[in-house]
Amino acid sequence: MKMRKTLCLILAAAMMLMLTACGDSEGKEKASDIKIGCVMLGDETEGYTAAHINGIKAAAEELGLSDKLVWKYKVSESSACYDAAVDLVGQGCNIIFSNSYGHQTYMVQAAQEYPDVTFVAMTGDFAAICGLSNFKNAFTHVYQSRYVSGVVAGMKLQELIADGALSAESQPASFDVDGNVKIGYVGAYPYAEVVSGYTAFFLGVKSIVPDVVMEVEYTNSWFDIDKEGAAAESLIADGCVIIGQHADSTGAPAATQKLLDNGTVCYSVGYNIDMRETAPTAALTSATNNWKVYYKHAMECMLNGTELEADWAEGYNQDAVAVTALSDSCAAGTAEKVAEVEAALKDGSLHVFDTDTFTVGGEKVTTAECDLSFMDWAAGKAIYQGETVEAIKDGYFSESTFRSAPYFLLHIDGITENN
Amino acid sequence: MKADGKSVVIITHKLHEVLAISDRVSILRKGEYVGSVKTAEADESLLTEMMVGKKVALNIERPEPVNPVKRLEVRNISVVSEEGVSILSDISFDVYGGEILGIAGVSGNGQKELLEAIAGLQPVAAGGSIKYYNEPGGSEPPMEVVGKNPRIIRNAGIHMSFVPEDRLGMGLVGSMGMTGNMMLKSYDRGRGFLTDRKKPQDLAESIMKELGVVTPGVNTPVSRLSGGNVQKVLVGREISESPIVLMTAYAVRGLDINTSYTIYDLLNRQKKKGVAVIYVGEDLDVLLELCDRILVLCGGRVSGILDGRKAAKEEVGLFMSGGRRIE
Amino acid sequence: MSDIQIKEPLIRVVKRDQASMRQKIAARGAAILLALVLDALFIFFVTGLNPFSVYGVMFQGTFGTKVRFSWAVRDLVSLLCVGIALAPAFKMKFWNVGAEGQVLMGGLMTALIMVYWGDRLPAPALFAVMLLTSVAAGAVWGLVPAFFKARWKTNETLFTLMMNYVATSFVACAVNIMRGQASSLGKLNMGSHAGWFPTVFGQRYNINIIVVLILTFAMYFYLKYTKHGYEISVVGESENTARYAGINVAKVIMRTMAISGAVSGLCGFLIVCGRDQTISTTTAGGNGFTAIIVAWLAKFNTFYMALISFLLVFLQKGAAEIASAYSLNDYAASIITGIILFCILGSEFFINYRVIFRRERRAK
Repeated sequence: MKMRKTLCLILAAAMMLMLTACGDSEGKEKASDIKIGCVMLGDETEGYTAAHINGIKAAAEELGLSDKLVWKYKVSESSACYDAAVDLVGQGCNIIFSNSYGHQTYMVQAAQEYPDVTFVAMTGDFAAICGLSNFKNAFTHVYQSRYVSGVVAGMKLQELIADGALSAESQPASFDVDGNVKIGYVGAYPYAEVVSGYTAFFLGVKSIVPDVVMEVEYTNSWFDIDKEGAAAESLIADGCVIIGQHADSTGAPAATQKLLDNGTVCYSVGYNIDMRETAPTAALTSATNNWKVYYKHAMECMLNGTELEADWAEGYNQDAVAVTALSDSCAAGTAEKVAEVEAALKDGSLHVFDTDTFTVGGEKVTTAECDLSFMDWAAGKAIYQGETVEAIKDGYFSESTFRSAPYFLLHIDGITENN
Repeated sequence: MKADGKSVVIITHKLHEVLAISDRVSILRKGEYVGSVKTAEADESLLTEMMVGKKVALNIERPEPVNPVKRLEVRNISVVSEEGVSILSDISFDVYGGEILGIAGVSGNGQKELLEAIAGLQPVAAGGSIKYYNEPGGSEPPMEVVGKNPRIIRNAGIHMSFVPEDRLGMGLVGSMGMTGNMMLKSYDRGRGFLTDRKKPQDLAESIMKELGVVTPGVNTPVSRLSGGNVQKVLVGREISESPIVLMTAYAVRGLDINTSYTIYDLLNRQKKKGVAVIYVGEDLDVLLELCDRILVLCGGRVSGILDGRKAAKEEVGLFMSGGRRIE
Repeated sequence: MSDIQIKEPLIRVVKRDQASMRQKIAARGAAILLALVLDALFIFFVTGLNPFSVYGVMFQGTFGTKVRFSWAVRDLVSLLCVGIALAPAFKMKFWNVGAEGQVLMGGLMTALIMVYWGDRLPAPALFAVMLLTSVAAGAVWGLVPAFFKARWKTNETLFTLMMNYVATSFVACAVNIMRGQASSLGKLNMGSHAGWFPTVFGQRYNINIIVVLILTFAMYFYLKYTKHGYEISVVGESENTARYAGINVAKVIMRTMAISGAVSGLCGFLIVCGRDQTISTTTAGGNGFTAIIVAWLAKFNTFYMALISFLLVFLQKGAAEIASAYSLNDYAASIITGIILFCILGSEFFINYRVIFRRERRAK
């Protein structure tokens, strides 16, 4: 009994000691070399993160910085991100990247405390308006590669219809009452980034096959194999012939392959990675980002001491986006068409969101005001006040120029959201 | 079977059985073999000495009740089980202070439910009543026990103690020591949130001394004590409450002979103090030696109430199997 | 009489009466040593790394820098808080596996008040309201299964477990509403910092630590020295004994679970205001279940719980650090800590039971 009492007292004393021993801000002395910290949402088994990992590694290798990388994997979109960032600062990093949108608010918290360290929240949206000079965002003109992947899909559709493999008699569900062929899209959230992506995809298809309509189904998750597979199945059951996706798993292509093997005419366009391993005959291509381009740019700025811009977004003009290798299922002549479209995007002669190519409510769009503020939706007010910009200029919607993260939220005719 | 040439081994502590039918007796004590004797050469006192280790007088005294005062009036108690089976039907009897009322009956005839009903632990069918007389001579009106739970009974000033059949499962908290168990019925006395451990500890120590409880200490969990010591703790606590009615169920079941006689002695001392003692037992010989009156239960009814000094064993046995009924 | 051969099985297991303190320490020490050896083998043969440097790195995970130590203490305190919540329920043998949900409900109320009333109340009032609502929410969440058990003898393990899912759904729903058009809910009240714990004595997490420290003492005291604590022990031991003593078992069950849930709710409040400043379905982070191990191993003594929580947090942080430093897969690190946990839990068996091997015996 005595023993237990003394033990309790010792434990209590130890606990009190811990109070005083806690340390808080400890910005370690900076290394004279550059050190790069990477806060990753997943690990190499998750497609989206894998693309970032490859980009960072490739960029570092080209600059001879491969041994200056410090990795934190499987960092969730929570205070774990803040902890990871602060820990990386403690390890001497002077630039820290995070790769998921949900990391942003935690990264900015760390950025406020360590003004000497640069924090880059990839795919984030308020770096320019938050008032911190050490906080940056970056994105790519992924809508361009989506457009090109749409072109690939359109070529396939055109071939299917011309060959007679797809017709109103053989697969009636695939045509709506006006004779438009149906395609589908598995989206994550009803959020500008996704809307921008699927609209670009749709417009790409439409540029080859004008009589087309698209159905969108949301899964409310960036990565959920089962839900994405289920969404694809539901879209195909509704008659959709090509399934595009803005989601990070292989769920949709896998489901599409299964149905193709069973005789339904359906094909898949993926995202992030080449989907031919999952869907050997159903996959056509995937829209992808070449993150290396940005990472190399950011690392070079650090090395040279030049200022890294608050928002960075480039596309084909810097080879920051691409489509993965065209599969054997693609239509004849696709490669040539893709090269043609990519060249036009590169030299600026082709604009994806050309207002001549779409209508909203039957009308041509002449003005689109986009509020770039960062909103607190629960409280209903802006946390960081941003400008409201007019996005339409010179006859096209200028996406990702006023800010790196997409802001295209127009719901154009021909696209319906199923849920 | 003996005549057939088979070997028969009987294990019992009932000496008259041993003397009546066996040829040889082997005695075990505390897990060790003490010795064997031929039955023809043995008698009760020799056997007892071998069993206990010293000469022990094996008689239970039975003092005459002095000024018996009615303490409990039990009328029309009926208990029906959850499944609808009738366990007790229309039980009525009186209990007097200064006497030991034995309750005999084949186990499972409602004895447990009867005692629990009186203690307030068993709900009773409508129409039953148990009246408790605090003041002798009826100067105060009796208090109704039916419909009250044990705490209310305690707080109403009804001094009733109950030594249940299930010692560690109901009467005591096995994981607590003697001190913790002394508090079981008195822990909520006194104002404030805190429990008083001083008084229960003193009580535990005095019981340990008085009754000779073998335990490493007053805070050793009682589940580790031997059966006899467990019962001593339980009975000790119940008696320390200075009850006016003391109920015991199978108080000596499974106990060694020494402790059994200690318990009989305790009960007699309570009886001499004027406590109304109810003793539920299964050993007819003990009942006939100890109790002043014997109530026999059979099939949930009172088969009969006999005088403990005059009744014959066969008579009790007959009542136990429902032979005769006294209306 | 001939020799009697007693047939004994080769190995048999007998429940131990009581293990002395020395035996207990020996058993636990042996377990940890065994765990370290097994882990070293695993590390060396499967990953090819030097076990000692890996252990060194594990140590770094918690003690490497002052900041890391403060995080370890912060996480320890969250885990300990839930363990404290479970202590009274488990002592009563009411298997409350719903702490996860109770924490979430407390956190949810805190988050809702923080967001919707954050700019309408001054800070002290805001904290008071958040504290009260989260404690109440947790208490209700604990009371519901208790009521059903007291009244209709429902199985509390199932019930509390199910309530976890209900709580998670509520939180998911609220998060969906609050995040509006964004794809995820970031920190709440980023602009005004309303409802965020201030730093006290220069440390960010001190309020959490102080509150849990107080709770540790309070719960120990409550269970050991109060009448309520006594009733809990009796009810936990045997319902029959409790009834015999006149204890209102239903009332004790409901009151204790209300307290258990309330403390869990408080934990949610501490996590939301003190650590995350947001709410999500992973706010409780599995603490509701890990705390069961903590409470059990500590035999419901809150001071031992602190020790065990520290061990578990140390293991968690160590595992993460190993994964990060050696670019090991998450799972390798989990295996390392899993082996340690397994050995510790296994030692519990040897503390409670003796293993006897057959010996040749002859009897006359």
